[in-house]
Amino acid sequence: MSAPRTEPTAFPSTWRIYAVVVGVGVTCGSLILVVHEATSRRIEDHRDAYRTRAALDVLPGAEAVSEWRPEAERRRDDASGAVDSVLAGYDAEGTLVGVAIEATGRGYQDTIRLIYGYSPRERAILGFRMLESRETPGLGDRVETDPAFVEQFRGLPVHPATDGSGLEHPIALVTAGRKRDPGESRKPGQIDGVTGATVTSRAVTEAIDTSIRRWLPRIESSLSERTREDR
Amino acid sequence: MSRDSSVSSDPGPFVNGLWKQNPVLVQVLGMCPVLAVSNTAVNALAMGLATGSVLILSGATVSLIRHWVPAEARIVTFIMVIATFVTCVDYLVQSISIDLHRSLGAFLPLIVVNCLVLGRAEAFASQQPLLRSVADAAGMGCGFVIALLGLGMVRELVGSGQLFGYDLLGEGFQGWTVMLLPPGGFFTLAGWLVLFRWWGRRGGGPSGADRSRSKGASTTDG
Repeated sequence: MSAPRTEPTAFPSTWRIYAVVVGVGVTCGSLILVVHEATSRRIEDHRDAYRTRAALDVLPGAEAVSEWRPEAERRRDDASGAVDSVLAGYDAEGTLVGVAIEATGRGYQDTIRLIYGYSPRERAILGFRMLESRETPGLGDRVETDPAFVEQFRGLPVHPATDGSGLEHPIALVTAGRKRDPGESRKPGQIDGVTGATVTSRAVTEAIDTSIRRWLPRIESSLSERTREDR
Repeated sequence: MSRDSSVSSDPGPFVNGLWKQNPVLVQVLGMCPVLAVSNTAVNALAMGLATGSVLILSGATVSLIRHWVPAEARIVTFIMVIATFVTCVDYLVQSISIDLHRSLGAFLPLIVVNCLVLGRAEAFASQQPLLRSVADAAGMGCGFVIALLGLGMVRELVGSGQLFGYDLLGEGFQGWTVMLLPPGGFFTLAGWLVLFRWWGRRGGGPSGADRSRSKGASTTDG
């Protein structure tokens, strides 16, 4: 750096540096603020539209979705305070097809966010769709494109355990590569991972398992309350 | 952006950035986004355009404020200017398409540390009048887009048999997944560099190794 030229006037130039840096900083900050204000509405709309599109994808037969809050959810019992958003999907007649629930899990690169559909009538998971994932292209992102993996979540039955805590059959990944004995049949809730994407497969499976454990009792109780009210 | 007017009024810096000192194929700058986000043609085009617009906006701003900024404060000031435009471009991309923003991922905010942008601000825009700076930035931006597109198209075609998302090679084609992964970026870049060196030696393409280094910028990547 060729600074000697300014050395004789070092003291006033310090103030000049402050002035320029602060001035540029304030101007830059204001510009960001303006652009943020101008685009935030559109960005929010895009996010909602994307989520709605994904929710309709995982709820076959649904024509419209709306925010849904189970009755039990009025009290926030979540330690983190974060309440997942749940969308209810209705068909053309306005009957509830199912609910689309957001879930998160730890992926290979970063947290993955997905949305999955659950049908209270069929007591089954209807399918899932990724919302956010930075998984390795060509490997981790195959959990979305590999039909053999995706199919396992279409109509995957979930039953609450008889003692009321958790699931009767946990949704769990069968370790990829471990061959089942020929006579051994697949137990309910067991999922075969995608070869080469074990971590992501497990992240998806565990995210759905954790989330449905949390939501199943709330959805059930809320629906039974609702039917009681209808009568 | 006043690309056309700057070309006609002053073709020198524009062609220089676009071709003679192409940031990727000759100067080998900004390798991080070049290798990471060139896995499909659409990603490459979007990344190139985002970087190009940051280049032009920051080049113009730096050129405008160059007389007021003391030498001691120029790096911090330039980085602030660049970071501001990167943030704005990030918001704009999100407002255009959430899918696109999703596929560019972390590399959009990382334009801030692309040494091509700071390199041009420091080596060119801070010493040149507005029009020449904009022409230089536009040339460098276009050169960056061309190089990224060159990589992205090859990688997408070989890796998945598609181009801009359209199937070209038919159902029977089994894509080479490795081309979509980071190694594929290195292979493709190496191929392009070999091609351009060979072309340069025959007197055609951009200048060879002897004239290739720009004055202010180093070849290390940010």
